[in-house]
Amino acid sequence: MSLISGLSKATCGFLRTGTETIFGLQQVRNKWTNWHMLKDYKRRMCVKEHAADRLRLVAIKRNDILPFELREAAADELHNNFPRDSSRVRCRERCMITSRPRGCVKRFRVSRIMFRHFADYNLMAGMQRAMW
Amino acid sequence: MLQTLKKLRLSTWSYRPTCSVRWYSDDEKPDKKQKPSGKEQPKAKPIDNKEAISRLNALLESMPSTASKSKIEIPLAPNKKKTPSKESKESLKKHIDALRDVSERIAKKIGGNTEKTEAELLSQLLGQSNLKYEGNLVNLIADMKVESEPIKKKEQWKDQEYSLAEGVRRSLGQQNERRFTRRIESTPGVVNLFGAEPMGLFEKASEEKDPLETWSKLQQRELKLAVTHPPRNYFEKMILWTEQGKLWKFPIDNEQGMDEEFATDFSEHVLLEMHLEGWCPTSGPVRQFMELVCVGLSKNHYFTAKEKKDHILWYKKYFEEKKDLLDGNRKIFNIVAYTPDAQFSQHIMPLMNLIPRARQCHQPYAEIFTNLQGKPSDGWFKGFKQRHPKVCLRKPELA
Repeated sequence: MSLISGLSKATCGFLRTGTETIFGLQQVRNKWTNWHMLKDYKRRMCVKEHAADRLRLVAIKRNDILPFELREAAADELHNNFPRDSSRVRCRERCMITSRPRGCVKRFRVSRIMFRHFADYNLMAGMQRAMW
Repeated sequence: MLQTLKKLRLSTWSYRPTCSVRWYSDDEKPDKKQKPSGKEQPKAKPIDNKEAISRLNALLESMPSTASKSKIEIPLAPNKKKTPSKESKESLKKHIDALRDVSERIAKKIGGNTEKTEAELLSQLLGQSNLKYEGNLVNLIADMKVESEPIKKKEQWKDQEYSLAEGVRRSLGQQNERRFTRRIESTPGVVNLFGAEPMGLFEKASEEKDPLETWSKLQQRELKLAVTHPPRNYFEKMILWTEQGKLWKFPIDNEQGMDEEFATDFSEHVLLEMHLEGWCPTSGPVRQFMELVCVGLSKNHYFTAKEKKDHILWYKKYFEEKKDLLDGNRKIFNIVAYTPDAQFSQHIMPLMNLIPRARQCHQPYAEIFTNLQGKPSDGWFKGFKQRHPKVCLRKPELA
């Protein structure tokens, strides 16, 4: 067990999400609802990691004051040297319970079905059935 | 005969009340009834008889005096504090006198500084008997104060075992507070481990990494859990959360937890040009860009002052790395203001399908105008039109 976990530590990056395995020696299990949910989580962690650098390079790339060589270099770096998952647009807002990618109420981070369920049981602060 | 008498005695004795304030002495006969007070005796006969009178007298004599009352034996706790009685004090004084004489004699025999040796001897001897004395040797007994303290609790602990929590805390290394204070006489003295040179008997131990990393971590965790008690009820949970900062504190303060922000002045947030000093050129595209960055940051409500500073310093580092691009072979003309938007992609941000004229712009060579016939017009600022090229130089040579 320790050998496997040690090896898996060496092979994977520092982000440990409970899915480390080596070539089918170990059944992979995690507590996420979905694999989609887990992947989205990994993307978000990646975004967080590279957010600052990306912001600065994008500012260099998109401005029109600096010489274009510099901006070209910044564009090139963003395109090649940054992982794709560091881009914010790749993250999808999912329901945090059911992992539903559509119909997600952003404020509560749940899908519309779950939202209705909780609101009906008075578990959403301040939410009330609309009536006018 | 005796045995029968004894039996009688025993039988009569059993009817006696167990606790009585006064009772008669053992000499009296067991047949007689026992009454609490002998004064109230029924007088069956008149007091005329001499016999009766004599009997009365005998009885009265036999009655115990009020002074010698027998005490009630109530099981009380013994008085622990031993106050030094007069007798003990006197004996102590005698003891100390004897010690003093002895120490004098010894000091004389040894020779040298007699007073010093005497003082040392006496301190050694008296220290053990838990006495204190102040003042110099001459006024030793006059200044002496006899203190008999009760046994300290700490000494009792030496024999007791430690509780489980105690043992755990010790192993964790948190046992700095409860060390027993040893008496000064029993310690060997100050030991300096690194005073002398090492003898070189042992090889340096190899610093191997602990192979059972997880195990040791779990062990540490277990020890911690054994010592810390989880919350017993929801109230304690909420207290814990409040202390951790997960719950709001009452009265509600919207700026709870933003103590560092309170400490930073607004000038650190708004006046960010000071971070440009030293490295940023005073004019040019880089300066313009950085000033815009500073303006943008000064209006940002979400960055901390430190983050803003780091942001600017990142740019410093970046521009230092890309220095060759800034003043390299390529042309650096700020032609933005004079280039219409339609030609942006051709001149400013070249991608592909460049018109021939734009293609010339991006050549590595600069064209110097030595014979300028025309007046400064739009062509002047575009800079790359081939007017009257006389000399063709590369950019570094220009600089």
